[in-house]
Amino acid sequence: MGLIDDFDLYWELFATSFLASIVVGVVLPQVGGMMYLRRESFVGIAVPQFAAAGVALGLYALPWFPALQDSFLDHGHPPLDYLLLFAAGAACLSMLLFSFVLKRQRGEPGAMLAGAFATAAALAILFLDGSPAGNNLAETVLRGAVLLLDEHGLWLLTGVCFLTLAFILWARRSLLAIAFDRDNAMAMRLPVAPLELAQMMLFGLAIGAGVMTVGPVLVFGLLFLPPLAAAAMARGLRSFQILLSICGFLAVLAAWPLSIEVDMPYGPSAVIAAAGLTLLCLGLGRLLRRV
Amino acid sequence: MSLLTLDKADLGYSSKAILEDVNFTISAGDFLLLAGANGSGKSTLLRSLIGALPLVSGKMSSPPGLRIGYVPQQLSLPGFFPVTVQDVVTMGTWRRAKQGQKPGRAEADTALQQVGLEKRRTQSFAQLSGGQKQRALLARALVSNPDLLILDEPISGVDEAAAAVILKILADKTSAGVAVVMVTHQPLALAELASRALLVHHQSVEEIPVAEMCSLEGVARLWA
Repeated sequence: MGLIDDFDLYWELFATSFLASIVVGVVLPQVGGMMYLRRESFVGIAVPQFAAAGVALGLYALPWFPALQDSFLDHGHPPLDYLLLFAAGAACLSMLLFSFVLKRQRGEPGAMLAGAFATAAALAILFLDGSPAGNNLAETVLRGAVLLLDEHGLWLLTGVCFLTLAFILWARRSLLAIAFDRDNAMAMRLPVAPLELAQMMLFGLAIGAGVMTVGPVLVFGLLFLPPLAAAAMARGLRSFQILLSICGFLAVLAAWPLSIEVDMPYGPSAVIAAAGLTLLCLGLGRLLRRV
Repeated sequence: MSLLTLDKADLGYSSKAILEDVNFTISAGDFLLLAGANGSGKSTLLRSLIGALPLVSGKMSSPPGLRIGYVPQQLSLPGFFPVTVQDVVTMGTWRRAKQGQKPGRAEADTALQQVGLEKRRTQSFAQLSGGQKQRALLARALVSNPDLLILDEPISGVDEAAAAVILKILADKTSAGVAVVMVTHQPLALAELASRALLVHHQSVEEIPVAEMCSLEGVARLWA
């Protein structure tokens, strides 16, 4: 059974997951691109881990919400809206915390983030361990069950990603000016603080929704690899931002035949595709500069 | 015309004052030199003037709609940013351009001509030399059509030709009524341009005669 021969069958089975992968493939690289330009990629390492810990906390706390738990037990689908609150809440909170701590420049930022990452990872495991939903289901949710995503999950993810993309496009110039030279943006009287706060909240929401629906591995990959690929090829800001989404789109697209034909888990397949694409772009970029 | 006034202002970070009881006014057409030893608080003063640092206490007043053009030290900017010279200069027009409206490419080209970088407009900003970067940042400040230009060591590490271009533009701007505030470690080179001088030392800002700052004795006092 090949992908091309049985396309209709595969489409029927995986249409929702396929569309979700395209949505995150286009939008998350834009989030990662902004973090890259703000020299905050290292913050992006810890934030998805906090979102994962938030999901685990949500599952741990499920018995405190009997109606949700009953519905979950009846239908077997994780309560996505409820979990999104925890994932996005934890992601936003961690971004606010990092912003506060890093601005004060106390201690070595890399060490602080590594410590935060380790703490978030430990919290996720502890909450999962105590989760009455069962370790298997909790781990499935945390690994990013993109193949199990239902239509409601797709709408939720699309809504959050659309909101984030709309914000990036609407405030594009101001966000880029702040990322390039924050002091000059202040001198230009741009609304720096409100824009940074909105950006933090929306990025936290998008990362939280991504972790919950496609898993931390794919979120990491789409946040960090496309910016490296795009920066190697881009000649200016516009081309950088266009290339971000093209790289993400191609990676999530290429991962489907890889995943189906070779029977590999989808998330890691997409990250490997993104890594391959990044290496290709780095080589091509070097070649272009020589020409 | 008074553009910006600091009145009994304490400047610093959070609640810790680095400079205390700062009082001065910047008027249209002023060319104000700002000098002081490393760590004396020049950057704190500059960042307070552009609004990047809130005052610890006191008052800063300026007419509504005051346009400030800012030229940072080029070393403080990221080297990996995928941005062309034209992109950088066009950023200076982004505050005025409404959303959906094309930012001022024509104005950016004119400013690039002024600073002598018109042939480098499509080049990556990261690939420019130190002096070229400084000129590109000056062009970014110029396109914002500023009333007040604030520059942080714009001629440090810059070759003589580039420094001459920058100083000529600044002289033209002050003649046209634009106020210039410039941090410098080379006051001797600016004796003819400057109209006022501020010395930042001992946690305070003291106005001294330009001749005093732009003399060998002044420089010696600066580094004392």
